[in-house]
Amino acid sequence: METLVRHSVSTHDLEALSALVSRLPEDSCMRRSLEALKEALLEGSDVVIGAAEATMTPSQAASFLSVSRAHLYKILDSGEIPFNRVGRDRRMTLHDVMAYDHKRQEARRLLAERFAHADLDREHLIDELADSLIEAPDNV
Amino acid sequence: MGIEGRPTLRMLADDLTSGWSNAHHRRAVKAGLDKQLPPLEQMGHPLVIYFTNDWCGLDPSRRELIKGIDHSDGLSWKVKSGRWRGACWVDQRTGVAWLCAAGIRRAGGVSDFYAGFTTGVQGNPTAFLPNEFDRAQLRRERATDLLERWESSVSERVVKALGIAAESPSKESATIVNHPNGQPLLDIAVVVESADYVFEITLRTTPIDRKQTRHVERAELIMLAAVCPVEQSWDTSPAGDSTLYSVTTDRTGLTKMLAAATASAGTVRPSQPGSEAHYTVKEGLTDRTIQGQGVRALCGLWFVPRQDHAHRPVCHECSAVQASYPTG
Repeated sequence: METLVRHSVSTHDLEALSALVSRLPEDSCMRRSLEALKEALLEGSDVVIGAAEATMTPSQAASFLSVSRAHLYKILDSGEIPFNRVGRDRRMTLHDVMAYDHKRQEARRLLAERFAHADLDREHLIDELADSLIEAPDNV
Repeated sequence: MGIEGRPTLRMLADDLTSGWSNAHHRRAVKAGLDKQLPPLEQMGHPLVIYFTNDWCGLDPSRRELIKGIDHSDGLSWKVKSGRWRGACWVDQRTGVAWLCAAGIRRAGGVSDFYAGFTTGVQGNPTAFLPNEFDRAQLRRERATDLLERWESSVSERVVKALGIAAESPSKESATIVNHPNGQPLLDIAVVVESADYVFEITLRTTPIDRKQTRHVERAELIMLAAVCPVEQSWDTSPAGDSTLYSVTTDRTGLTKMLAAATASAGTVRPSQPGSEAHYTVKEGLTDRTIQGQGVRALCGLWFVPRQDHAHRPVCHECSAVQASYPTG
């Protein structure tokens, strides 16, 4: 498994990649894959290349997800990422770790939004509580 | 123990024509209120202040009934302060005392105001009673009060759990956060761990009552701000039925965080949004800004874009990534 960190890829390498893509036949599936790779790099994404069934150690997965090892074990214990035991250690597939990363990024986006909208959400909560006071025995 | 007293909005707007000690309150009442106002029983007018602070706490034997009025659905009382005369109707059903009419005593005729009030009530009994708006405003103020007390208790609870967790590293300190109605709302657990001189505080939350999403989410934000008010220092990971929230720091940072959290336990700490500008992809940015949706910065952070980024310092990590891009 290989991680291409976007800003470590030189302009020269990107040009070489473009040249390779243009030499492949239009209907080649390899051409489509390499084009996808080129686009991902141009969009500024890091790219991980590996067989979907390639396995990761907890250290690799923690680094891939940008979390501490202690944090990764909490995630594994919750059952969010399937794993196999290898002796006392655990192994995850690249596919499962990537699927979890997607879910985690969505949760991180929601947290940023919740902080940004906290005042409005609090107003809604007051409305909800005020409505529940109508039903209360000591109502007004 | 006195009774709960409230001025009606009609009385504040129409009857208290002068004598206000707070011009802002007076203008707001005339304009039809807004959510920034203090509770109505704290309005800056001498009659309201006397009513709330003194009259409501009077021994019932010292109160004076208004004569000549039908008292079958609640008693009407005289409220006198200086030149001001008020009429108070006590709602028997709820026990709330409504200051529902007022006027100035005219020289020479002590009972002028009450005579006029009695005639007015006989002509149109409901004109002086609190309306749905008054009741809604009261419910809203009670709800705000209830929420504030609940928020304080949530903050107190998490800081207590954090204190215990800090005493015994790597061991979870668990407790329960209740709904304002007293029912269990969510399980929480705090743990402080360290590796290679990096300290990580993790808050695990597990909703008990999954229907109360708004309360759960509010409680979580209160707790995060109570532990560390810097919004962007928090990371989150889904963990089955639970959610993990974590913040990492060094030893000095941890000490400061614990001290600040302990000092403000039981108060609601406002959270601090990020102060740097970030680079992100341009596509769809305008829509996301308008709709308040989060975008991912080049540095990996998620943030909700706002209009005022031009005056902010640019994030170093974002700049480094941006500079590494091929031009064009």
